[in-house]
Amino acid sequence: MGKNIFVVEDLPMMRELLTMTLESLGHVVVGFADNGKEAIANYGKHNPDLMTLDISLPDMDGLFVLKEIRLKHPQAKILIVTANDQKMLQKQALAMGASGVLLKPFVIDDVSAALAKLFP
Amino acid sequence: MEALSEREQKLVLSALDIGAQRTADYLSKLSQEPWKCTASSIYHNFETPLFSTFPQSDKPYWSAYLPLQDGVPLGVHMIMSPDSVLSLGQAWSKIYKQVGSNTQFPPQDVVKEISNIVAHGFCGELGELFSTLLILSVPEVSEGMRHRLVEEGFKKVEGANVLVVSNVVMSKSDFTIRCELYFYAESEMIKLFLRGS
Repeated sequence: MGKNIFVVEDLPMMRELLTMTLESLGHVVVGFADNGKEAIANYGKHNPDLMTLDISLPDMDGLFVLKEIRLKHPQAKILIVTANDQKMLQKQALAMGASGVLLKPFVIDDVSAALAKLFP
Repeated sequence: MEALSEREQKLVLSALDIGAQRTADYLSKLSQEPWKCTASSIYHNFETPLFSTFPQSDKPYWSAYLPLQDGVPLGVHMIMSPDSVLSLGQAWSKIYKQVGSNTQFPPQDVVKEISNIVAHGFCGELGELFSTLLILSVPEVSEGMRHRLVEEGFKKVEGANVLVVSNVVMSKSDFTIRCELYFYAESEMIKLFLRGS
């Protein structure tokens, strides 16, 4: 069954690619944010099944957004989507409560596999 | 401020060369076609007269500047010719058509996207070398004369006394994209990171 997904991504091309990919897999993108402040402010409004979260955002880093949202919504499922493939980042994000990490650039199979892990 | 030793220069340059391979891997995956990416990197300290090495051109270039977050004195600056940006935009629109999008992206979005991929490829390897988490800020895109863009880049990293220039060539079967990458940093910071690694 399709999930409601809130996409946090500042780069327009990546935002479109991610949205089209998620929709082609049968999910619904319920909202977007292109900065951390909007992501934190609007998470509760959308109450999504999953939030995809970029790490490099214009106003704050995604790890701070992850921390804030997990503090207010401990059950939140958050998939980090990043071009930063440092192992240290992935370890830190998972330790802070991220549900998974999807590396950019991705193909449809990567997204599908990441979601299958989160929603078996 | 002390310049980098020969060993420290070699470590930084080799990390950047590995970053080129990462960039090629990223592009190949994105377009599902084999890409090659090579980088020839040159180390300078700021006492080297650098500007004379750049040819003048009348055409405006595109640039993206990505500083590190948290005020770490290191910035990545990428400069591309308008022809390369156009070719890349066309290649990208083919990829987007595969997922059903017909959007034509403006050049500044193309520059943002490619600089994000390339800068992360290079900085990821530097981060591994330094054993430090390096998070880049979002790209600041601008257009202008190349010498002016380079000059402005220098001013952005306060205290920077180290510069690495990389000529990066990204190519696949039907076209080639050339860009210049500039890394501005403070030698003391690099020395400190290398000591801790």
